[in-house]
Amino acid sequence: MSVYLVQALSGVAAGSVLFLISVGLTLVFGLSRVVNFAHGSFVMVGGYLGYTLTEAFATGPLGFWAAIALSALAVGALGGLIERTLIRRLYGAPELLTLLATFGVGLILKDAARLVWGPDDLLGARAPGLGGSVAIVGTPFPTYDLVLCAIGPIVLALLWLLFHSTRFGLAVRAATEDREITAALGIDPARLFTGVFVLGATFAGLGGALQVPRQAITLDLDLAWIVEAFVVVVIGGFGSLPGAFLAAQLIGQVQAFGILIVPEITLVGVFALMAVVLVVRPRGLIGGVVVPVRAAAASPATRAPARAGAWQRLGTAAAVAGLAALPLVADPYRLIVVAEALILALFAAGLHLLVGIGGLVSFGHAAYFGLGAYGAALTVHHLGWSMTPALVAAPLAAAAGAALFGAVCVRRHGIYLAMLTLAFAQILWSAAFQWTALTGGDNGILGIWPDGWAAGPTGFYLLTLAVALTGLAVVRRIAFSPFGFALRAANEAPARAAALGLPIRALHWAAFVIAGGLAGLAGGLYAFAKGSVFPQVLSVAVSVQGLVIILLGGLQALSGPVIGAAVFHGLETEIMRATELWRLWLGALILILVLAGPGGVAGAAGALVRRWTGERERAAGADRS
Amino acid sequence: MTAPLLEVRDLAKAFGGVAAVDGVSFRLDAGAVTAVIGPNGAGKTTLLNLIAGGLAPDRGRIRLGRVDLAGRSARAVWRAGVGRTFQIPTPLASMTVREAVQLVFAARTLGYWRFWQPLAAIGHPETDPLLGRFGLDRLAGARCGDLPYGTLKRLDLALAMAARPSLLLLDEPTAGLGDDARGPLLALALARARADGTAVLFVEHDVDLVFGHAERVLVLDQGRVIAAGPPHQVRADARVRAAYLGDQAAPALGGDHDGS
Ligand SMILES: Nc1ncnc2c1ncn2[C@@H]1O[C@H](COP(=O)(O)OP(=O)(O)OP(=O)(O)O)[C@@H](O)[C@H]1O
Ligand SMILES: [Mg+2]
Repeated sequence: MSVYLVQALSGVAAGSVLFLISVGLTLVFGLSRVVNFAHGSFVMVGGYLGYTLTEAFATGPLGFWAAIALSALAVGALGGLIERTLIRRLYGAPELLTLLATFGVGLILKDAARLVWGPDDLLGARAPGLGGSVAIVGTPFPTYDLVLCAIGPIVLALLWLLFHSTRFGLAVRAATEDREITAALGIDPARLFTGVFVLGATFAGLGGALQVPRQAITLDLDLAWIVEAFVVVVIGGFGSLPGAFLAAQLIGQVQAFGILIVPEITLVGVFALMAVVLVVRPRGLIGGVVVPVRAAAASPATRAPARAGAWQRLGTAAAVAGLAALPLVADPYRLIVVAEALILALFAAGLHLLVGIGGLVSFGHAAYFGLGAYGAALTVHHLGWSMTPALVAAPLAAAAGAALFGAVCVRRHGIYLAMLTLAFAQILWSAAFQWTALTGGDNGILGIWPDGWAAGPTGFYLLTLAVALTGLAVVRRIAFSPFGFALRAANEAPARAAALGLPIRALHWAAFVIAGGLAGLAGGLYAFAKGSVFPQVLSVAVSVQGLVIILLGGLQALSGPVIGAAVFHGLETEIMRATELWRLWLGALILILVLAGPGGVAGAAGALVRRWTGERERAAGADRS
Repeated sequence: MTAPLLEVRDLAKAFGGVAAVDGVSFRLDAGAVTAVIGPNGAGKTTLLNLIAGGLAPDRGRIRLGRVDLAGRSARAVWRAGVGRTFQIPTPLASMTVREAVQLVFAARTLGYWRFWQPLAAIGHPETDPLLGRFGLDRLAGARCGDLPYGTLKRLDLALAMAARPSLLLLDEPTAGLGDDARGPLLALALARARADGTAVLFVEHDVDLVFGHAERVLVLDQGRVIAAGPPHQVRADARVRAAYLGDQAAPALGGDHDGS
């Protein structure tokens, strides 16, 4: 019996920390509608600062708690700096851009932390005076965790007071309920936004610093925590303070008892819970704010898609010929690099259909890339299939997964859709990690080699080229088919499209399946290119990579994913060869892209060409309003 | 007396505490032209949205012929033969005018489930006649996102009428247009409707246009019908003069609660 009690208590302790970490995310979202992907980085930085400061000052309890508090305040200041310089430019921007930009910030912070604290895990000392344990009905329980159990409710109470009895708090609540009201209250909204952001970052930093005695501080804490914090925010309700507390405690308990009952699927359980809540109660357990779905006008893809003129056809033909002739001149290393870029282009092409044309921002497209990669690897590894049938199985497995998940995802829009896609990708990711019997878990599946004819660099390169070009051609056909136009109509003018009898949900679902299949094909090729598959193919980083590529290349034309993949992979390879700090550069690149606008490299080049050929941009709807 | 084409009975819809439409009943015969007028926020757009689908009423019935439309999806209502325009149309920004029209014709035969043949190559024999009828033939190659507002409203009308609906709902077809463009656009819509035998329910703030074109006028105020009947009768109604005709100083663009 006491085992359960202790387990429940450790769930409460974990829930307390999770609450501290999530509360900023939900408050910032409620107020500004910005989903701050860099929020997990505040936790990580808080952890590192907590480590350094406790090492320096924590000779006694006073020093320890002072160090923790100082870490939290420093992270709050960092948050304020980031809000002032960057986040405030994102208010009102489409979800895709805010998610990507804040992800970029996270990358930069990660490399900054690596520069300061190095790549190794850091193990902090126990909290002075709290290192032991107390007996709970005969079972020992860490004293420190008992303190954590108390901190969560205390912070909830303090925040509750803040929001219900101070001018600042009342203003925040009013503005969260009704965006227009701040002006009427005579409050400077910019200061309100900064204030809430600093508050959220401070608590994230506190959560991170409090982890120092419990957990090794690593560079991966940011992603680990942000994903859990997302789950809390979604389950509790976007913007809801008590919701965040309740959800954090719920997850704490699910994890604590999940470990006792079915240790293999604790992670899956958490994300599945999030998916269920999104579907049946999108406002969360304790009614969060209703997030309006942004009109298509705000989505990045409303500019005209480029259509092939004579020059473009010629250029395409030349590029294809050049790629086909590449094995004659390039060394094997270059061939492999280009083959990888082609795989990325194929992956991004499906995403282009989904995001660029359909306007459905998937934040979990790695799910289908990974399903393809594992689909291929598992058929080879467990069923002894050869490459060709495995490469057929890959897109089919991914398309089947997309058909299943997509049926749920297309019921939601905007940020809810993004979170649902993320949840499904995370479910697969955790399954790949934990279902070791099937996937080998962390050790992956090795020995996935191409058939003899494609085993050499040239053979595999030509295979990849043929498959990727076919995939791109298919996307191009679809983009200009009636289906493609219908998809575009549903994105650009949803009400108009519905009034013309277009079955929007079914169109979206079909786009999901097609994009999933293409991602799966890319994933299958990737497995054979690497000769192995690891759970990382399902990670958020892969999903974000796809989005960065289409944003980099420009959302308007199919050349976007291709150019984006070439530039991205080229940069990645070059930067990674030149420096350890590729994340920093990638993050900076993302920020530049987002702040410069959604045209991407292709868009910028296209604008130059248009100016060159003298085609004048007509101002859209110049006489409107 | 034959059964009406459209019969709306005791229709109601509230947003929060606001009764946007509050017990509206009326009938519309096949081929008839009725105007809906009323001050800003009277519930005109909400009434149209309720009929056009995608917005479920709190109570009441909407019958089109034998079909009950209340609470159906916009797509189902479209299939029942209802076309609509929007108070503020959103352009199909990336398409040319011709492509938009072709898409509408494709939609009529479930053609959007074709993934391979280019839309441009499929075409439709009615595309050019439709473009011609609405004076869009010379703009066929222009992008919808580049169109001036007046042309965009004309295109919106053409798209709504492409399927030759039995009922056409027009939400302020002339709002936002210059004085010289308003009359012709409404006249065009009504002429096309007459040619196709389409009944029209149109919301309009321009009183001269309303009394010049409508066969019947329905006056809404705060979600309720305060008068209904032929134009001369409505014009003489004291309540109408008090509620609406008195303050027609700013007739043009109204609110923008357009459900889009
Ligand atoms: N989606 C909605 N949510 C909340 N309230 C709404 C919504 N749509 C309309 N309303 C409210 O319902 C009432 C009627 O609005 P509606 O748009 O139907 O008026 P209208 O007669 O079309 O006005 P206008 O002449 O300005 O276009 C208004 O008070 C409006 O604020
Ligand atoms: Mg209106």
